[in-house]
Amino acid sequence: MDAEGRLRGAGAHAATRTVAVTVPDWPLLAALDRHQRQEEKNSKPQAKVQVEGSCLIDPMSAPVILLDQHRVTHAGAAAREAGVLPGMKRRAARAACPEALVLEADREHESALFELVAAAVDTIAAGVDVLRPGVLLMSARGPARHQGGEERLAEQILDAVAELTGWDCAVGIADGPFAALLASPHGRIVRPGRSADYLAPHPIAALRSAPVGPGWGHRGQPSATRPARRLDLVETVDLLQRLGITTLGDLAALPSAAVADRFGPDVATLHLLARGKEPAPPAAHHPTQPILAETTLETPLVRTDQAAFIARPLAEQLHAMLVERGLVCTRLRIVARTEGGEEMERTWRHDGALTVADVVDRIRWQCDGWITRARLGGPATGAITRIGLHPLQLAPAGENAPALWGSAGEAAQRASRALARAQGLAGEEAVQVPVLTGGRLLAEEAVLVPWRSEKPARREGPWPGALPKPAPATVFRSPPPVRLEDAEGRPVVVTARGLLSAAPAQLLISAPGLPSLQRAGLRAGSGYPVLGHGAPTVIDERWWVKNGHRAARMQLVVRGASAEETAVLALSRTGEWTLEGIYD
Amino acid sequence: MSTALQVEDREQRLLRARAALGAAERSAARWGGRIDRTALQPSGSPSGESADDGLGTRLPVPGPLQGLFPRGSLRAGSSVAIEGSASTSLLLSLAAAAAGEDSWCAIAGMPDLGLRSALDAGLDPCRLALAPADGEQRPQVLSALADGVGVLVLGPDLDLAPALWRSLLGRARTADTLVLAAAPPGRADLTLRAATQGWAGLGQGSGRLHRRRLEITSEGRGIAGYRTAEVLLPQVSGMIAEAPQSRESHENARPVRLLRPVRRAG
Repeated sequence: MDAEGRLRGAGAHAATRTVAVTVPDWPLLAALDRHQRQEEKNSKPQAKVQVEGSCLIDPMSAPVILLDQHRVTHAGAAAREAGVLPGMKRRAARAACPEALVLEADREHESALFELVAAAVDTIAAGVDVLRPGVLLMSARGPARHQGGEERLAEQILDAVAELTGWDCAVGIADGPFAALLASPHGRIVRPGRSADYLAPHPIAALRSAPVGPGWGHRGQPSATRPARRLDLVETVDLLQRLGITTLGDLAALPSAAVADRFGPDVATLHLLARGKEPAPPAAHHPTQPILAETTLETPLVRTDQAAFIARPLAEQLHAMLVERGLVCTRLRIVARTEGGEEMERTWRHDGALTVADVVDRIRWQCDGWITRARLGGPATGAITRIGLHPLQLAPAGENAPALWGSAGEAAQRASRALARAQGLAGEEAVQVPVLTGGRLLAEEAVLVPWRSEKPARREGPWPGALPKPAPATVFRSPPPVRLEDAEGRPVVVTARGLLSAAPAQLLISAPGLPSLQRAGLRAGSGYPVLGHGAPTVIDERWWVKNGHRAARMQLVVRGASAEETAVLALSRTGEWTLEGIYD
Repeated sequence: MSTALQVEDREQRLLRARAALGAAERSAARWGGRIDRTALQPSGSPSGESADDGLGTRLPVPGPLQGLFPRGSLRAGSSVAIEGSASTSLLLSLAAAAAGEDSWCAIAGMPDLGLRSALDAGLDPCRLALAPADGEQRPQVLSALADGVGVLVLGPDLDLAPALWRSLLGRARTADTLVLAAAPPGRADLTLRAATQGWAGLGQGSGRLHRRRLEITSEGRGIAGYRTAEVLLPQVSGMIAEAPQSRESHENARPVRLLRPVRRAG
């Protein structure tokens, strides 16, 4: 997708020439692949020949059903013949085809495996954009010119994917992503300017594969300003059908203003797609001229302070370019080329505007890392001969422009200078800020991120089992193991029903002491009498999966070495007690 | 007369405009936005409890602890050492009170700090920074923090050299930074020592921790001998509170009331 196409408004622009590469029934293929690997792993002790014979399942001949949340999402050809349809319940599907192999969908695995396909396509053309597992898009113009024609490009992609991964894919080329997507299963190449004609006869149900809404790669991500709304494509298609709109051509024939008025922005996007156009992504800014600052070093870089020396003019150059255009950079990629021709890069995210000093610091940290890595005998990087700054994400400066009251308060300015200095001295991790993310365990509830880096999103609760106030002032990053014993010296455990096996009488610190434990008067290797204890609170985390956690948490008051009462928070997991925190 | 009225009117209009702008900015500011809270204060009155009285800026302390400090507040640029049990929660509540409305707080050398208790104690997450301060650059990082933030908290695991402690105190004094340290290697202006009197709320297999009664003793510059106070820290909400009169003292008081002299008549 070229920059000009994105810059022009949603109304008047030609859609980009797009290649869509799809692997039909990708979730099914990925699930089969996983299944076969597991089989191999399970039957390793047995004869290898037998395994090789048994593990090859062909979805065309053997019936395979893929389930997601107890509904059939994909069925192999043989299963479809037997009457299994997507949307069926597990029980109905098994009744229709009892001998079928039933597999569960796994999005993670699907996307991870699809990286192989993406990498294979990447050997033919650059700028591959994975929309969702099974579908990837890229701009056709440059690669087609390079390969000598669109037909040739399609062939090359098919060959590369088959050769490098062994899967069959389908390639479609058209103006705009939607037409390319619809063309790809048939391997069609739609002539330039004819996308609308190609789309028109398709039934309206084809909108279900439109690249909008959740689950569609980065395009589906909700914007920061607008809360995520789910566009229910099935419902929309149903509604349009009831209104008598049966083909994409009927939808495209409607006036766009009327569609936007009647159905809102999401269906307006669909309308735009049905007309063979493409929506422009709203938030990011794509300048017509790429903004980047690069410098070639006459004498290769071998020391960190040299890096700082060159970094500043480079950062100033970039900053001037951004200020000129009224932009701020929220994601920056720093690329360095070494003597050996190797390229090393890292992307930095930042929650506000990157100032010159910030950029200088990041260049320095990065060069520092590389140079130390070379010194420590890691993969030798060689001296750095070229450094480039590529802003990846640009936004209009509006939000990050100076505040309404002029500048920040004096205290905030002083503090941010000091914190920036501390980060400049000792690296990004030297100054951290807390972010409440939510969770049951105290250590998960709030996380520390480097100051002025992007903050993780808050995971909305409720968190049953979370600790009520007051919270312990010390929460161990690595919880020290302890033992709880009853009056007879037997270990106290939490039963499956969440009850204590006996009243605890003694707390024994087993690990060699942490300093904060010792300060609280709890030394390693000795026992302390328990004065009071609460009822254990059961924390069930992800009990529905195998690696879920089941834990119980209990407050204890013990008499420490200095004869003072000390309150601690103990956590029991699989019969082992640890200390989660101390109220000190 | 009329000019006086005009001046007042103008001041009021300015106040109103500032309030409206402040509200607008607060609603537009993102998480961690850069709001100049001092600008939102009414122009005439001093900002918060911190006031300049010729002896340097005074910083507020938690209400229940006021009796422990000379003049009921802390001087900016001074240092407080905290010893004994409950040092972490005491550090947090002092830092929260001293940071007030607009100064920043940096916590160094407390890797195992419970972040939720820090926020419960009243620290503003937008104005809080944590520095592990564990590398080679530790002296420089600590000095940079002492120069910049309003309240610097030094944890007990820092293991400072006495020389670094003294130089930090010097820097803090010039930059008007309050230094709160747990078990510092040298002298501080004030020393607070806390002893746990007991926890309440937990039974044998029932209940949960509600509050802890602490006896805090302070001594140091400006205090003759020592002063003592009883507080609840943490209280149910995680904050500090004044300790209510204990039951024993009630029981002690009752016989006194019974022994009122009664004159026998006749």
